[in-house]
Amino acid sequence: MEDARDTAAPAPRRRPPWGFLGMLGIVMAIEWTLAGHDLDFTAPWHWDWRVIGKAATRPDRVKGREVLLFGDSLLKFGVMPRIIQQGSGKSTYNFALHTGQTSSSYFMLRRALRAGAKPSAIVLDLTPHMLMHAPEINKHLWPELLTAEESFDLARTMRSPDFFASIMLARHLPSYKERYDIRANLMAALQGRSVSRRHEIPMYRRNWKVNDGAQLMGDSPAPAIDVEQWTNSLYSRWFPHPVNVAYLDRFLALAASKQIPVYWLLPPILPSIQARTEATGFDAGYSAFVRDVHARFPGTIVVDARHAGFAPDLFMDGAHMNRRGALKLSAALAEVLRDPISTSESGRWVALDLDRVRGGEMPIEDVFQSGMALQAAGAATRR
Amino acid sequence: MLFNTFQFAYFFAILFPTYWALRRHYKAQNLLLLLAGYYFYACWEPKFLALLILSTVMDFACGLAVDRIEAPRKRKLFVILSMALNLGMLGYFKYVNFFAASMQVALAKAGLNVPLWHIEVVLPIGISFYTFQSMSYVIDVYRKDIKPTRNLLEFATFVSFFPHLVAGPIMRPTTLLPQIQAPRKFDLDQIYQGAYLIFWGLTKKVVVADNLSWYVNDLFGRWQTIDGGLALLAIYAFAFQIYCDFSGYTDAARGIAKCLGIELALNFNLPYFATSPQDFWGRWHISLSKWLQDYLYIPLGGSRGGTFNTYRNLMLTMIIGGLWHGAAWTFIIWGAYQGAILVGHRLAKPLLARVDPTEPIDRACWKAVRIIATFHMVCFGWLIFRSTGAAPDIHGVVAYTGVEQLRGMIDAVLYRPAIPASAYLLPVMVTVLPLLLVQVVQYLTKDLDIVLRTPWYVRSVFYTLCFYAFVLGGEFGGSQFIYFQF
Repeated sequence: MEDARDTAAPAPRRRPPWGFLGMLGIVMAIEWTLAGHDLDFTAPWHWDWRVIGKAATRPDRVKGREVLLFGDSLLKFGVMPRIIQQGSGKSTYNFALHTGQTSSSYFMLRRALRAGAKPSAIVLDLTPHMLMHAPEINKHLWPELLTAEESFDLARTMRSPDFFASIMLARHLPSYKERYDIRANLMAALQGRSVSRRHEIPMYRRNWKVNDGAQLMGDSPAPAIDVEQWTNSLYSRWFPHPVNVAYLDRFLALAASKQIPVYWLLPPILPSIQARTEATGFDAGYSAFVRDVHARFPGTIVVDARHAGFAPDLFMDGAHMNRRGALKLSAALAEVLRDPISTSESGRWVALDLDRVRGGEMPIEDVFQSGMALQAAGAATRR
Repeated sequence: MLFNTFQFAYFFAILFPTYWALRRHYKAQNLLLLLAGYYFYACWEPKFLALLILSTVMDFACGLAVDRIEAPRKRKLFVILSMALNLGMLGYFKYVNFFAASMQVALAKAGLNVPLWHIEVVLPIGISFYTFQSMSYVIDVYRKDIKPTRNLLEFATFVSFFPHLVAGPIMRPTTLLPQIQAPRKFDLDQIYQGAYLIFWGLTKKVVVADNLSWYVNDLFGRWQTIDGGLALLAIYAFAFQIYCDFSGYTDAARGIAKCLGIELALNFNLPYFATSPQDFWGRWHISLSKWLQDYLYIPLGGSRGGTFNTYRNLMLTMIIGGLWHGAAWTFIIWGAYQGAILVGHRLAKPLLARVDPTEPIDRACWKAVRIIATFHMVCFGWLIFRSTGAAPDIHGVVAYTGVEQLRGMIDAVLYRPAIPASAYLLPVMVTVLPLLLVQVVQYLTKDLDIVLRTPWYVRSVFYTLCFYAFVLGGEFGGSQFIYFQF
């Protein structure tokens, strides 16, 4: 057989490229179908960014709220708005996101303010390791949250046109945005399994709704974790990413421009990991960073919960609170928010005190109870 | 700047309309291409742009000098000057540490412990490609195959034409320069074909090569502990990874050039369907094979000086071709291996001719046997080629390929069914089989562009499948192309 030909010049084209146009038609049909099957492919935290991100733009969610919470999963799992309201008398909403970063917090705050929020206080938490990661770590989640303008803002700060293109592509092409989940589903299907988390999403959505954006986990025994591994993977060397620092400054400057005090919560982590981070010098580096930012923004009150005495059985893993821990932390924070703001230097750095905690005993629905409530509602409907 | 990045998409999105907006002024188009080429190159390391400019200016001047001077000795002098400059640059940046280290090892074996220099030097990207191309211009002018251009802009555009600047195909002045010197015609059909080539090339790269790279790196990373079946799978996977990586790049390069109204040479023609080592080198990295044939093998005497000289020339050409790929003994051994199988094939030709069947079915079976045999000979070469990190002597290669491992592999193939863990087999098959299917159709129809000649609905489905393979299966890390290191 002769070599395959590479015909460089077939007859000149005078017709439209039907093959290409046909592909566009098929792709549009598939994308439209995919967009209608979000639940099958996306993980719960995609919904978190999408649902809570939208909540920040809704006047009915932000108006009248006196305390707004921003940050990451430590705050999302750890601080319950209803407990804050009970303890401080201030209506609260939790806009913290799973793996949230300073940039996501900044955009959420800006959205809330644009939607008419006039909070008297803002609570912010920034897990050290999320401060160290570049925004790319959340590349699958950003398309759920950012508008084109916000994407451009973040990409410009990152000096990454690629990031902007990737977010824009993901916003308009569901298959691109959800490709890892679709791939995992396909591979699992080939092996006769299912990895879809469709059934969990309504449960989480209900929980965020009843808890004003927060997510209350169930009760759990003290976690058995490898302290060395946790420390090495999350708290090995303190080095904040410049993009996160830039957005932290912008967040605090925005709050200062509206004269809203920011309570910067340094949340507790498992005591054994806390001790390890202090031994390695990581904690000292992080503390120095917090002190530096604190000095630059006089409207910031640091609420240090690192040595508040949270026992290991209040955690569900090395950093996140379980149900009892979340209720305790919320009640302790409510006490701080209730007190008048001190203008003295020492008054701007508050050590959280669990001994002062009152209340925090009100019935609150955790995710498992949300799941059961949904099951019961489903059963009632079927009947 | 890599073709598989958004950065390049931005670059081309600006360049393409600007370029065609200037279609009535091809000299302005050339200037734009030159600036684009220099920007494209400077994105890696701006300081190495000086090398590209130096090579361009020197070879332009040498070309003019060779053309103007009549005296043969003086003409030759300028060719030598051009070669000294280009090979000198290549030698300094690519080979100096290798030769120094090898000499040190040789001296140490002779009992002389002489500390030789080691220069901290970074290999400028694409230097092996543009030096060869630039040098061949002066040689062509010397041979009077081409009239030299008197326009530096045209020559600089020819050397720095960005689609093929860093990883080929190595274009001959006789084919590319005339295209630079003439106005380009805006042809939608050509642009459509170009877009198809870019799409197909990037699909090969990000879907096949980049996905296989994970399995290849993993398996080669623990080569000494895997069983024979997995070793065989690792080699097959690497064969397709390197093919799709390199041919994907050149397909995309050809497509980009087509969109700019310029034709680049075909560099890969279904190489794994080759029926002999000689056939393989007519299908794999064709532009390099042709370059080595025209500027090395034939000047060495080619097949004119008797059997021994022919084989010697073949071996020398392939060893130098191997060395071109990189400064390591593994590449020299790989080149020697390729030379040896070429010589072996020539020696076996009379025997093969005798067993060549005449019946159509027998002929088809015989051809299939030859394709499979050639593919496995090539695969063994890839095993040597992949052992780049080995020590700079032959023991390194032997240790790396591992005699025990090879024995285990043969054992596995002969006595045990080579069924590797499904964690590897399934993804490798899923990645490679669709590509093979397309290639079988291309091979049977003898038409690389068969897709473009199918009915529109077939094309639509094919493009859709490629699109989703690209979007869902692609690795978008902007990973480097393997041949960039050469």
